[in-house]
Amino acid sequence: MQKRKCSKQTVALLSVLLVQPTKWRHGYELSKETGLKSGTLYPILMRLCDRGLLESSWQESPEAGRPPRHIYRLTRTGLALAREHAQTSELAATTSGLGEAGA
Amino acid sequence: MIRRETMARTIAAWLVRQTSKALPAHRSEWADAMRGELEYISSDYAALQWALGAFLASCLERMRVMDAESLRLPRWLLSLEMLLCFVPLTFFAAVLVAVLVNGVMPAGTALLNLSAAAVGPIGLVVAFRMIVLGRIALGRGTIVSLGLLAAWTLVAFSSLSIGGNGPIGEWWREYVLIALLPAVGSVHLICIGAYAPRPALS
Repeated sequence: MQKRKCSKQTVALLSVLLVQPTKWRHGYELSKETGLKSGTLYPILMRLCDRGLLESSWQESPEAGRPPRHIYRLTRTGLALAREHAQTSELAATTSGLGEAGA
Repeated sequence: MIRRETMARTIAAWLVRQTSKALPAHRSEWADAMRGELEYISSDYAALQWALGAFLASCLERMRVMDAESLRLPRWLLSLEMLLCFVPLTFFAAVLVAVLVNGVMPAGTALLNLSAAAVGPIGLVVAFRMIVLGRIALGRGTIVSLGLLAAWTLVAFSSLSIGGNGPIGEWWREYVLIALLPAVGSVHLICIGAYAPRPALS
């Protein structure tokens, strides 16, 4: 797959999903944790699913009369990408910390 | 849980219903996803914010997948666009007709202005045919006429506005309403009409 540069918002979403990579997450929960509004979050979720980085499913509500919820989690490829971005961010933070310490 | 329907919740519900109309067919699952999630948001304000975002996302997604062959918007959105693009110029054309009839302006000047404003009512008629009567395909003559009229409107009002002495702050609103928007509306109608599938000849 061709590697693309991820937006800041996508990286934020990937890092939230990386905290518990096997857990299925709801859209609203992801919105609250990332601070992304639905208008930003859903296009990113769509793209990530299209690229095979995210898998989605439907979860029936335990309460009768409530609609099922769309849930998401990282795929193996998505997990690898999220880890890669996490390492890059850590490296950037370390480099920036060293730079400040050296100054 | 029984929840009292507030105005914000009603608007939110209406907005998320529109997402399924705005989103392209292959994204229908995502419309259900956004709509379903609304039921789990307890705050009315947050629900309204969520619905607005969902609606915006669906409109952007619709625009993203558009290409030259699928410039068709949902009917209600196209109606809104066409009204915005052509009604101000149609109103201007009506004023010019009144001016011409009452002899307030020299007939030559009024007719010249009227020719530049003609794309307003003509655009509305073409849009009405397309949206209400479902006659989407446009003939070559209509396409060429609409294109020429829109170009003439743009040239005439551009020269009047830019050639005038006033600063841009004084005329840009009128310029947008009577020159730019009709041109945009005409281009959109031409694109839809030109790429629409034509019925096979029997």
